[in-house]
Amino acid sequence: MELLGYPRRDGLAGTRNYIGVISSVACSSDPAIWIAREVSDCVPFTHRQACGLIPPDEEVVYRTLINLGKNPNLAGVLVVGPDCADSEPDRIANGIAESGKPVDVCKIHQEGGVMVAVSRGINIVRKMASDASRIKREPMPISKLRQGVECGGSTPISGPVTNAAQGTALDMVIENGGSGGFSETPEVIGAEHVIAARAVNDAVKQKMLKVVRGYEERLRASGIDVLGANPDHQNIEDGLSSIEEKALGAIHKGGTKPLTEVVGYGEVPEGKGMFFVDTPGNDLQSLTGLAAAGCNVITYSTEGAAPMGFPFVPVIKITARRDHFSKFPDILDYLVDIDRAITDIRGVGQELFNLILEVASGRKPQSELIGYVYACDLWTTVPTT
Amino acid sequence: MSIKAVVLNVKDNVGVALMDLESGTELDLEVNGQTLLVKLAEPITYQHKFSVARIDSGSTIVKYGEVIGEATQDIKPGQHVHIHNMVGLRAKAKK
Repeated sequence: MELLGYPRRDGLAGTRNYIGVISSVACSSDPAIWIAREVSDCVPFTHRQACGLIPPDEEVVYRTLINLGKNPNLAGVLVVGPDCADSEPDRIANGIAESGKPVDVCKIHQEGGVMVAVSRGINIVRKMASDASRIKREPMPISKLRQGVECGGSTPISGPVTNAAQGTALDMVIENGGSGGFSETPEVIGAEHVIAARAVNDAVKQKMLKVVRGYEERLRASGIDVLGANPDHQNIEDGLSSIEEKALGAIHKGGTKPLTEVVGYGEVPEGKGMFFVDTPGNDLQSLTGLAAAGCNVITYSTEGAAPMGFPFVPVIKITARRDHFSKFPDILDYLVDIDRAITDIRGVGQELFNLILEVASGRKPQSELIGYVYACDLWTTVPTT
Repeated sequence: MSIKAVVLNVKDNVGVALMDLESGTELDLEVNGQTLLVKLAEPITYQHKFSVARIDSGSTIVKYGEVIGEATQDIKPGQHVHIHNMVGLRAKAKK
C-alpha cells in the first residue's frame, strides 16, 4: 500500500492540489470567495479575525494564516486584503513564500476597487491553477502523511469506539513513519495526566500540562464553570458522569504512541510521531489549527453528524450511529461497528487507515464532494481594540 | 449488534451497556479472559454505566482503567452508576 501525493518544493506531500485564496482580514472575505468560485480547484479560506488585534493574538493570527498557506495541500496561494493599517496581506504572503510555492497578493484599494481587484485576482488564480494542473500525483511513502484527529459530540461510546478507531489509525500512520495529532485542549481537562505521562521528555510533559492549565485558567477567568459545561446536559443524558470520564474518552483519539511535541495554535510541529495542538473545543477553530499544523488529511468522529469539512484538507467523518450513517449519506464517510470496535479495534483501525490512504490519494469525502467547506474560523483569546 | 455490555479495562469496576438493558438481565462479561457474572439491579440505558462490583461510598469509580470519580453512596453490583451516586474528583474539589 502506498500514498499517491503531490510533491512540493519543501519536501512535503500534498494530498490535494488546490489553489488557496486566503482573506487577510474578515472584511475581504467576500472578494476571496468570489475569486475562488470562478476557477476550478480554487478554494477560499475566510475568517472573522485580524482587525484590531493585540498581543498575543496578532502573532497567533498571522502565523496561523501563514502556516495555512504553507499547508502542502495548496499548490499556490493568493492573499486578498484591503489596504489599511490593520491588514498586512504582504506579511502573510511573504511568510507563505518561504515554502517555495507561488504566492501573490491582491489589495482591494490598490487595485482600484472591488471589481477590478476581483478580476485581477481571478486571473492570478487561473494562471496558478493552470500551472498546478500539470503537477501529477506520484507514489510516496506513507511517512508523508500527517493526520489530524478531531472529535465532536462526545458520547460514552465515542471514546472506546469512534475515537479509538481514529487513534488506532493514527498509531498505524505513525508506525509507517508518518505523523499526526489531536487538539481541543478543553476536552483534555480531566485526563491531561494520562496524555502527559506519554510525553517523550519532561519538557514536552510540562508543556502539555501547561497548555491545559492555561486553558482552564482562562475559562475560569471568564467566569465559566468548566465543570458545568463539561460534561454538558446532553453528555449527562447520554451517560457521561464526570469531566474525567468525558476527557478519558476523548483522548482515545490520540492513539497510544508517545507524545513527541506540543505546539501552540497556528504552529507547525517539526518532527514525526504524535503531537498535540493547543486549540479550543470549537470544531471550526480546531480544524483550522490542525490544517495550520500541516495536516494533509483529517479524520473527525462526530456523533452529532457535524455537516462541514475544511476548504483544502479532506475531512473523513466517522460515526458509530447506524441511524445517522443511513440518514445522512452526504455528511458521513465511515461507520464504525460498535461490536467490532469492542472486539477487534485493530481491525477497525486498519480499515480506517486504508480509507485514509485512499482519501489522501484522491478519493473525495462527502464534505469535499459537495463543497461544504466554507465555514471556517480562527481562534483568538483576547479582546480587540 | 449482539454484545450487550462491556467492561473496557481489567481495572474497571463499572461496565457500559451497549444496548438498552432491562432490570434482571444476567450478563456474562469478559474481563481479562475470565467471565464475570453480573445481574442488573436496575434498567440500564444504552451507553450508561453499571457497577460490576460492590463500590463503597467514598471509593473510586474506575473506567478505561482510570479514576473517573468516586461513589457518593454505597453501590451494589448491577446498579446504575451516574451523577446520582458518583461525583467527579475535579467537580468535588471545586465544591
